[in-house]
Amino acid sequence: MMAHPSFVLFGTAAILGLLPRPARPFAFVGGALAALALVAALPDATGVLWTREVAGYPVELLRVDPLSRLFALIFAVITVIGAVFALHLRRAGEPAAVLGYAGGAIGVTLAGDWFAAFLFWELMTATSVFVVWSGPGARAGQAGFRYLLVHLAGGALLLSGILLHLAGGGSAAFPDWAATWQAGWSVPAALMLAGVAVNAAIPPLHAWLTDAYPEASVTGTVFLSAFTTKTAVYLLLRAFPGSDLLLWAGVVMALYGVVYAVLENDIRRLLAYHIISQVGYMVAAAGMGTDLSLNGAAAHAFCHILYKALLLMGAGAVLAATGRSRLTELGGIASRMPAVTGLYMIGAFSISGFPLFNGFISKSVIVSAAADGGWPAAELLLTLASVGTFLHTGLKLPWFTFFGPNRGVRPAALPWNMTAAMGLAAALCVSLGVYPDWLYARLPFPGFEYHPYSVDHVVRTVQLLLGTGVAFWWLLPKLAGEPTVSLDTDALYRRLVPALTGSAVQRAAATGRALAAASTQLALWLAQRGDLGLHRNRDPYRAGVGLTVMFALASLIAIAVSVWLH
Amino acid sequence: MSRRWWTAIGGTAVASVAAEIGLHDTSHAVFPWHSVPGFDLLWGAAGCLAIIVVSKAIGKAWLQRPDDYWDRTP
Repeated sequence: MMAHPSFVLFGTAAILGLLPRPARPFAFVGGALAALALVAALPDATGVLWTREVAGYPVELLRVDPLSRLFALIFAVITVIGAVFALHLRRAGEPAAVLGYAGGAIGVTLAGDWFAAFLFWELMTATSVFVVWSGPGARAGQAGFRYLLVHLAGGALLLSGILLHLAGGGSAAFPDWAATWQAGWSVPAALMLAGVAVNAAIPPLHAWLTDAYPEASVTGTVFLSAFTTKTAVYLLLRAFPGSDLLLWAGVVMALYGVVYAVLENDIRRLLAYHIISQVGYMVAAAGMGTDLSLNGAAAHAFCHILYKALLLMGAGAVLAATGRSRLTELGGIASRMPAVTGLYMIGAFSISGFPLFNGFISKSVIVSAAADGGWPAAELLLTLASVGTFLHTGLKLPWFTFFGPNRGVRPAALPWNMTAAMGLAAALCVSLGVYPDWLYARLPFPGFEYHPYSVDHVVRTVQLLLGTGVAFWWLLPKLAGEPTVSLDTDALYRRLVPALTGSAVQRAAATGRALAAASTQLALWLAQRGDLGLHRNRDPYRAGVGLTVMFALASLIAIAVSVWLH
Repeated sequence: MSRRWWTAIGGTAVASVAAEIGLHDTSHAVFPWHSVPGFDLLWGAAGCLAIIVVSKAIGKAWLQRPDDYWDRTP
């Protein structure tokens, strides 16, 4: 029987903390490479490879078709690249959480039905919150707590939808995804879609992303950017293709991220807003529901994971070397960090859709699909979002970080592996841009034929970029970072709800804090024993919530193991 | 930016419009604006200006708060 790639990652995560410190980086990368090898060895034919019976229901834990294979492949690739970027870490907590998180993401894509997908989906939440908590400072603890609450709510929506769907006589099996979504609206479908929409970061359910990702460590953010939103895109493609609502939600997303990116001062939060913008293209393409658009969404997810990881590695490298991540505090470090600058710019050219870089060969498929499907407004607005993408990630961020006036920044030397990981991602971005047929041959709908390098296509892209560049230069003084933060929909639960509920919540919180303080002592003791790195931050919530989540995680793993042994 | 950069940008822009008119490749053209020479130059520049002006206006009117906003007790 073929080994499940996710379980190799879970196994590696479980033993990582027990290994001596010098061996941990090898186990981290080794586990990721083993998972990649297993994904690469998945059979070409569509079929179910692992089924276990739980409470009378057959649960398909490993099922392969062209869509799941493509997503599992890119998830495994980015796990290897991210592990190389984090190779200098000696603590076990973050790498273990990352491997569990990657296993969850690959598990969702290889799940054959809603039950299995939900199991891995929740594992992603339980592990990714530890990736957020591994960030430095109290803010990571607080943002992680909010992240956990939002995702638990999203998971509850998804589970409610699945259970109602089954109670109504529905099947746990995924619909035939190649058929356009024709089920029509129902309460279970709406609940399931809402649960997936939380992870896809569709506004107004998106604020957890820009709240938490920039607070994670520079190494953790790379993984966060890859998995959660893209597994949600995968499920949208799998279960909800062809929904008009998604088309327009995606277009709004693409522009929403752009607007906030204009106002953003923190470079990692700016890039996080551009995750929302880029995922907007994929959500819109899922909503179009044509062969061309669905292939485009899968291709764009593949390319996006590579260039967004590269961009966040670049921003993370800047933060690691300078201790700064605000545009108002950065500038003029290109000559001191030439490799990082050059590699970041490859990511910037990719996301901006420059010809010969991978964003060009995937984003253009989605824009073409909008045109071919007869959605002129969507086509123009998605093109407008491309303008915003180049403006921020290709011009504003690099100008005020790398090229503008230096504000006395003296970057420290970086570990070699960080630059090497960026080099790997950059090489893949360029390779796919130069040779798109490798990716096109692996897209889920067969017989895909698309020619991105036609004369009119290249010419129009060059014009769009030139026009953007000229306007940027003209308004450059207006684009300098401002020392502000921007209110987003998380203000609802960070300010409005506490203001309205007042003292009752405060009393409950005081009780909770007393309980948390008691469990903190226990957790700190455990953390020191297990060297999980938790002792670095004594946020009173963190350890209490951490224990709860570890309990949930242990339960889920126990269920998974018992199912496996059954 | 130096004069050399502006020359390069202007030259590329002129060449791109010339290529559109001269080669008249409409293999991807669906909507009328796909066949208008130089349309994307204008859409890029006007779109970029609009994004900056509109976003800044929304930010100033409603969204932007001091840097330490979330660190303050509500």
